[in-house]
Amino acid sequence: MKLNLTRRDVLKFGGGAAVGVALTPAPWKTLDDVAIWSQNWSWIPRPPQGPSSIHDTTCALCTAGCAAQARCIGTLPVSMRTANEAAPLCPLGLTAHHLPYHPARIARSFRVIRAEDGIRRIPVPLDTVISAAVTAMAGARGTTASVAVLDTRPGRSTSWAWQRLLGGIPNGIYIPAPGREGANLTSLREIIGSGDAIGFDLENVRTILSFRAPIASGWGSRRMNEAIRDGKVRLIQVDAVRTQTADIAQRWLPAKPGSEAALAYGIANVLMSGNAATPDSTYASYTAEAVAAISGVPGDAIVATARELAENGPALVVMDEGFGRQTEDAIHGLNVMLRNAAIVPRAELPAPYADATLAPVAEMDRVPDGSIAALIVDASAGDVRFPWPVVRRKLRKDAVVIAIAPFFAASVQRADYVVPALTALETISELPTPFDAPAARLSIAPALLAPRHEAVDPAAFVRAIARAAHLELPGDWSKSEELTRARVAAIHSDRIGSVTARDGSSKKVTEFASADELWDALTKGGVWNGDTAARSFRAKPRPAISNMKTSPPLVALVRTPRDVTASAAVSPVMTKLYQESGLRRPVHAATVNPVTANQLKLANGAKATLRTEAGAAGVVIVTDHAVMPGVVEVTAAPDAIALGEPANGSGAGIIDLFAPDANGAWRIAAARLVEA
Amino acid sequence: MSTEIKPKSRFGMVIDLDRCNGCGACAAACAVENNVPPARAKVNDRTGLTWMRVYRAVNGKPFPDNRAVYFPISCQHCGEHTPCVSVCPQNAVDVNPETGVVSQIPVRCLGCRYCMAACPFHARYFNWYDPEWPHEMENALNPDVSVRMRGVVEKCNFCHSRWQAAVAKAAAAGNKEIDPADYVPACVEACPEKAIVFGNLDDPKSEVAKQSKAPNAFRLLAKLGTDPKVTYRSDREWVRRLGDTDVARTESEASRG
Repeated sequence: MKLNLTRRDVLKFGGGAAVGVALTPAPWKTLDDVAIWSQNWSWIPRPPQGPSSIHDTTCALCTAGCAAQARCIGTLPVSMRTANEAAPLCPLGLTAHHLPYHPARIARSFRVIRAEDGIRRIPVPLDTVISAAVTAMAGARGTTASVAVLDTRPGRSTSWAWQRLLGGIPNGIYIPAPGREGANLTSLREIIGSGDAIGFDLENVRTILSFRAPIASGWGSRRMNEAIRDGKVRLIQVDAVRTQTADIAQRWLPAKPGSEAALAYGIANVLMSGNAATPDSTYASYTAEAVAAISGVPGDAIVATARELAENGPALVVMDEGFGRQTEDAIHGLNVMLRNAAIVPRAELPAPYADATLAPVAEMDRVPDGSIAALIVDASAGDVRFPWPVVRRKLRKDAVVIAIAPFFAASVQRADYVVPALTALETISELPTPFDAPAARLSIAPALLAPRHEAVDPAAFVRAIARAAHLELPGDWSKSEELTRARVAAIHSDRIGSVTARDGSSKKVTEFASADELWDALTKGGVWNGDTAARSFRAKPRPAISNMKTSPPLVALVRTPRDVTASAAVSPVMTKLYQESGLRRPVHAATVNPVTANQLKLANGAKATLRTEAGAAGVVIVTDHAVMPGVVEVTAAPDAIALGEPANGSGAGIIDLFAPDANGAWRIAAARLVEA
Repeated sequence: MSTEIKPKSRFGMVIDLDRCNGCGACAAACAVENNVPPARAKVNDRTGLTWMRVYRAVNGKPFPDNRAVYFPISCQHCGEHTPCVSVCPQNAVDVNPETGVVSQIPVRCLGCRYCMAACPFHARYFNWYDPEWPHEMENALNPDVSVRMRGVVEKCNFCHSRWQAAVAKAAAAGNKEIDPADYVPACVEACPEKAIVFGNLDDPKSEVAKQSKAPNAFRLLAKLGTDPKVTYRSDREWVRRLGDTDVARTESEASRG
């Protein structure tokens, strides 16, 4: 039989076969296999493999020094976890092991050349940087100009080394970073005329009046938050925004930004009116009604707050940074008036070497404008976010700025010369007394990871500058670890305080046979606590401000959350909070009340320009009823560089729109917001 | 379709919304534990990967009466009519018969995203891009969790690797049951306010079982009858009412009303 194969037959066969195959498992199996193969491409990252171990350490990213445990695979830390539930790790601490690999790491020393299209980094040997520093120091000699070190982590042994180096130079000034936590306590020390450091006895506080201090989001411990939630501690929060802290507070006083001093005087007036023994007319004009008109806080709430402070003591008055001296004086005046038993003087940590030739310490706002010829920024141990104009106005036009830091991000980008430093986990980190501790404290985080880059030890940098400038420094040390060991030896020889081990046991310093034994205890997670010497103080508040300010129509307010601004760079997985969810406002968000947005004819999500006296920046409008009408809230959130995007920024951030006023206040600024 | 498997244990969690302050530690810890990659520049809140996402919801009142609450939302591990299991054409979604945990099997997933459409809690995420960490940061990844390729859906699995580790530890000690202290998901461990309690809901003595039956406890979209194993608590009535609404919305979606 002859087979007549027609074109139609071929097409029928092909079509039938195609339909038939589709009905078999073959295509689905192929798809399935492709799905499996595509899970295993060579470029898919592979986690490290090896033996697992747990190491006790201390989070060194901010000054709190929370106890932590690092899980390591071989010698590589792969996770961080809380070791003390009373002081849990924040998102920054939980991701600390990512930071050594951050794209913003500085691999070698370089000079920064600024051009219109951005900045260029020209690699230079370390000797060139040291020569630049020494030349600037020599240039300042015989003039009124000063040589300054700005330290973002004061209190370390290396801080002492800087102070000692500057002590050998005419006009040397040591400046703790502006905006750091506890900077405002300088005003309190000046009021009470005390040279002692000041801490808080939070264990015994019953009422806290907080002027914008972020107690629930970074500043307070878990125990404090629980005490507030359980009503054991009463929290009164003053803030123009309903923040997380305002949410847990028993009372929220929504005061207009800039009216905090008047509010403090209003509370002081009520306190004084109840004290017939010491009448004071200074505050007489700050009646509850007058202050209510300025601040927007109802008069009866002002009276009730004052009564609560007086009757439910010990009461503590705290504040965020950047309010400026006048407001700091007014607010700390309340602490003085309350004869505050919750504020305790404390001893400083022993210096590594006994030597009196230390440079004077000055807050940045006390330094004369245009007086600094050379500024060395030591950001090797962490960062503090402050507006660069705070520093810029203090610099001479030809000033040289040198920075030593692990990341080329935030204010380090403003430097002329940059020197690489190691990150936490790569080097031993010293954690000196946190600003709020009632007694001196020291903990030490051991190095867990081999350094990935050639870096300069900050103490070695001090030593190299001293050598080049022909300055003698006491002691035989060449790196930070040796200086810290000298400090531990000083603690051991002073025979004061005790060490609390990770298991909760305590051992007096006198029980340690040698300084090496004490060092071992500290590097294994132990915390040294000095002795407390609580005493109350007596002093008079400073004179009141002469006039009551009224707020401008639109006020911009900047936040600097500790758990992201303590490091110039953060883990890239922080995008989960800032970019991939609406949990935290990104750096370009300007949050306003919908009423304000309507008045300005700006819709939610609109692009706008935020303008202050110091400059302008592009923002995206976010409307939120939590913000007081007439206020624009912005956050010094991590920018693209800080989050790990390769970029070439100038270092200018939204925080730089907040130039300081004559009092050093920079947290708020009169602003304009217009559609872009 | 009902999930026919009756698991031996029913692991679940209770989240106290009155304690949560929206710090985001749970989200960061989750990303670290499960090797969830950071976002690329163009990723936004719709295309991001957040196995644990904290949503901010408000009471809708104007200043100064406005109040906010933070809702940490991960996979709710539905026990009945599990929508994602029903719709998956690849059997890439599975209910673990030991734990009751709803698991995603990425090597089976074809990326059709039916499960994402079916999930009423918006707790599933699609891998739009190749997973990428900065150079050498893969040295900081968790070796217990494999990295997923682009083109697949992923979601919370109550830190399955930690359960496996707990099982291995129990087996090494000659025990059939795990020690509850050995199986704690990363978000629970990281929460600084101890707002999240985790454990076996079928163990009446467990804290999670007790708290899930508290008078102020509620579940998200309970009316759908999917029997989620995540329970929320709040003393605030307006917060409990939010449980009946679609809380898991991006900020831009929420602002559109």
